Amino acid sequence: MPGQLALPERVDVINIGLPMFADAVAAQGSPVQQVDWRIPAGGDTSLVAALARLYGTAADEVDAANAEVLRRLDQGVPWLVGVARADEVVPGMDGNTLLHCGPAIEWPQVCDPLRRSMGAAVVAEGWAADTAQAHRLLESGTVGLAPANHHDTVVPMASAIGPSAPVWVVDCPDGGTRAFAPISQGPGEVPWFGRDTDAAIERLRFLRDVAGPALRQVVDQAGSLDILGLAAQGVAMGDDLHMRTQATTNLLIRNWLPHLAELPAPSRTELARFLSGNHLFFLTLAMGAARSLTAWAGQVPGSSIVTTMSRNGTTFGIRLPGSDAWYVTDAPPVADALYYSGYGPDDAAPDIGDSAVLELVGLGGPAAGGSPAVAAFLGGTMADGAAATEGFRQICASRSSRFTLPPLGFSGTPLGVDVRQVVELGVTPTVNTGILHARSGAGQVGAGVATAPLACFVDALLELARAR
Amino acid sequence: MTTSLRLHTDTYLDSVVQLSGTRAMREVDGVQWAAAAMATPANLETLAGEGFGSEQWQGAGANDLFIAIRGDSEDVIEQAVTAAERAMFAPRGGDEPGQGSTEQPARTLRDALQRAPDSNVAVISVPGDYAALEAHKALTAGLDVLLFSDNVPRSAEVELKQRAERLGRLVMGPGAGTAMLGGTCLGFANVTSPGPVAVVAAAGTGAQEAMSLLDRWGVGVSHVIGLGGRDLSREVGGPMARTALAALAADERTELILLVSKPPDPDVARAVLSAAAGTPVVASLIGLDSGLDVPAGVTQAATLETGVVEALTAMGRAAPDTAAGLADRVREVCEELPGRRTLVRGLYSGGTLCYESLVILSRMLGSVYSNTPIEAGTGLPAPDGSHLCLDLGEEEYTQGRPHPMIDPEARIELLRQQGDDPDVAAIILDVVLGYGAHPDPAAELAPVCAQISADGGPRVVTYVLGTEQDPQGFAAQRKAFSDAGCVVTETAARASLAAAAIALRDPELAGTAL
Repeated sequence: MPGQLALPERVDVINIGLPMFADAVAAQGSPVQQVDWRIPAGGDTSLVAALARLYGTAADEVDAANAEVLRRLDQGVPWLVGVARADEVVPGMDGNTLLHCGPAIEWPQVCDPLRRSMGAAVVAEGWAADTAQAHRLLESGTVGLAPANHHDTVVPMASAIGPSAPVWVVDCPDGGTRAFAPISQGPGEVPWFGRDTDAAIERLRFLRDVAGPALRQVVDQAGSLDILGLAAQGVAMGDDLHMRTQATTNLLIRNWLPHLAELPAPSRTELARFLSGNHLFFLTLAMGAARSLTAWAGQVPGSSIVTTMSRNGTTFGIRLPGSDAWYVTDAPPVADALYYSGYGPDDAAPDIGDSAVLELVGLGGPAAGGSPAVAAFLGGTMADGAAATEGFRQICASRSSRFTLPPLGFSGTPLGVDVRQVVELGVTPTVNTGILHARSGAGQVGAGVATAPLACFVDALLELARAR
Repeated sequence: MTTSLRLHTDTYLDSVVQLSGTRAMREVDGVQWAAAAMATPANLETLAGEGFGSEQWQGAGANDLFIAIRGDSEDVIEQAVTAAERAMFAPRGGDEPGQGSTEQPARTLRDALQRAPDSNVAVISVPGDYAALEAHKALTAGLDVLLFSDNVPRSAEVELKQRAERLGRLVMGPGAGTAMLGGTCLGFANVTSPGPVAVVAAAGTGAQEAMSLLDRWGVGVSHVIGLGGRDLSREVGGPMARTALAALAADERTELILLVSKPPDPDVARAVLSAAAGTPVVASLIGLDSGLDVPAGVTQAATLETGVVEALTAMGRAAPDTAAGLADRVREVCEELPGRRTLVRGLYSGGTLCYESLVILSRMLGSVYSNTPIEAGTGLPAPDGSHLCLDLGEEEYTQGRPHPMIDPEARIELLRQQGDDPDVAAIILDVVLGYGAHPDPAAELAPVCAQISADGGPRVVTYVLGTEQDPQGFAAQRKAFSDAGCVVTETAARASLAAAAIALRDPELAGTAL
């Protein structure tokens, strides 16, 4: 049934191409916007055809699915409801498996920092006496590996967690989803930075034996916490919630202070000491909250909005809603890096960790324009932060109504990375991240900006177009 | 011999601007080969074929501009680069759309829509490979589309138009250069007074001739809708013509619809014309030999001129005598012209005007050869002593140079060349005015016309297509050609008749009823 065309009474023109046509419209006094057009998708004809389908005949279906995905990412309210040992709560967490960051990987391909982290976890679990024995167990398959994302869990940097690791339990009641993330290990000699010293292993035991039970008591007493409600306040105070969680961490500790005070000695002081030295404490809480949203959004089929983005130091992978299929390519190097003195690009391991889930819900890079600390890291002026936000604006389908950026006119942070826009513009998400030593176990040696590789977005786009 | 390849990263230039850079380089003495173009996969292949090494463009992509030169020396290369950069990057007046905006221009349709959410029409002139994508995005956003781009595959056209028809939207094109909606000219179009006749045209200059005549003859125009040359073919099936006619039938301002096209597929034409639902239609089907079987209320005509005359007649208005004084003017010319000059040359910038000229000339003169022949066996190269009519807007003449309506340079070259041919009697020039066209074509062309027709040279028959309200001014342009000794006609069709009359030394032919 054809629609009835109504001839316009007046025209308001968008001109894509020869500027002379815009000049002619302007000369007649009609409004016109000139598009400073660029060749889409690098001029690749098969991608242009896929884009024409997904922006054309399939646009209504894709846009409808996207609207629902965006609603879930924006409107879902994740609650911290508890702290528990992973094997108490994480589905499918069996007795001899480690959950690791990124897409699935076999031991021979695991990068050095993640191997060290895995070894430390195996020792902390009590499965091996030392890391050498731990590596043998991992190599033989006696200890298995599974992507944390396959178990509703997200882990930062080079993390690997065993069954005894304490995790945040995050519920999103709007969608009936539940997600998990480990308690942040803090700075220094810690496995999530690829260290496997005795002190690093001891940190895992501390989390399991001291911090976990203490935080469990605090959360039980304090009651459920609206994680992103707190994060939204932190964004207004200069956190991006990925590189900087300072403000939100402080807000959390203030909220919990009465319950922290009620903890029994000596764990009260030990936890207090741990919290006071852990400026990224809120990071994994935000990640768990983001994961509970992407779990809900990820149930909508036919959408072009990315709901998993994750790296294991060897590969980089994304997933689209409605499918378990990963689109995987090599993990990118971390560029624009600042190195600690004595280290350089030769020492740098590739980009790693599940924390990029934050960039999918409007935090991290999308919030850089509101964060003086991140802007300072990116180049020194607030304009550098705004540029990072603008980069996401180009590839995101919407704006967050939850996170707003005071320096950018209180505009919402870009929300919902759309593979169509990514492939069309050839612009991929950028993630501000730490850099780990590639070989020595020295831990963090710098920080920089990892630019997601285009190839996996291209594969996802082609598959989405093929399915239409 | 030496080669050089320079990259300007993240710099997109329209193809006409790239071509101006390429031309500037090739005009430098000692340049053997040069190109300024985007580093698309296809263009990089061309570079490889020209002997450039891939290490020279490492990392370059489709939005990086390259300037590649093979020349005799480093000096030559430096000169060529300077020339190209001047041609492509020198500031140009009046190029900034909008009023004094200092913000960054939008990079995508989506960006532009966020800035101007009330937008309702997209004009798209990007390269054909990418045009369907932009048009789909515009349709998705609820915009009507004028698709100027060429080289859009037919399958993509069908998909776009079927979708547009479902949505109740227009996709005018591909290859549609002319429209007028809501009183605003889009693309190449002439400024007309409002009036009761709507023009629906398969091609640009057909629409421009119809709208200009309607204005000059005092009727005025309600809307002009372009269709693209393939819309009325069997394969495409006329979806936009159907949509346009139905919308115009429902439009209060429109009392009559003038449809302009080459002869369409008869079944498609019948189906399309019935969409007019009782609103009178004049179908100007250029070169139609015998009438089509059409619904009641449809009048058929075989030239652009007669189509507009029929429209006036249907509305009870008198049409002017388009041949007034023309035979006398032709007689003067014939008396001065050396006897051996018997051939006609059409040097057209407008495709539909060229097509109509081929139809008229071949009826008067027999075979007329062309790069766009209307009958088999009359393609190029033409045998010696034959008549010739060229569409200089076709790709083979616009490779490496702008369209002759925008820049007369290529046409001037051919005009001089034909002026030197001792057997040529008459050269036909169409001079298209309006938005999009050269700001003062007479200033470039008329002096050349005067030169070549001096001392027993061939005569130039000129038709100026335009209206008094066009930026160039109709009367002033006509006067410049008259003063240069050209025969200036009232319609495009009359120019062909006058040229044939000169060639045959039969002045009365110029007044032939069409």
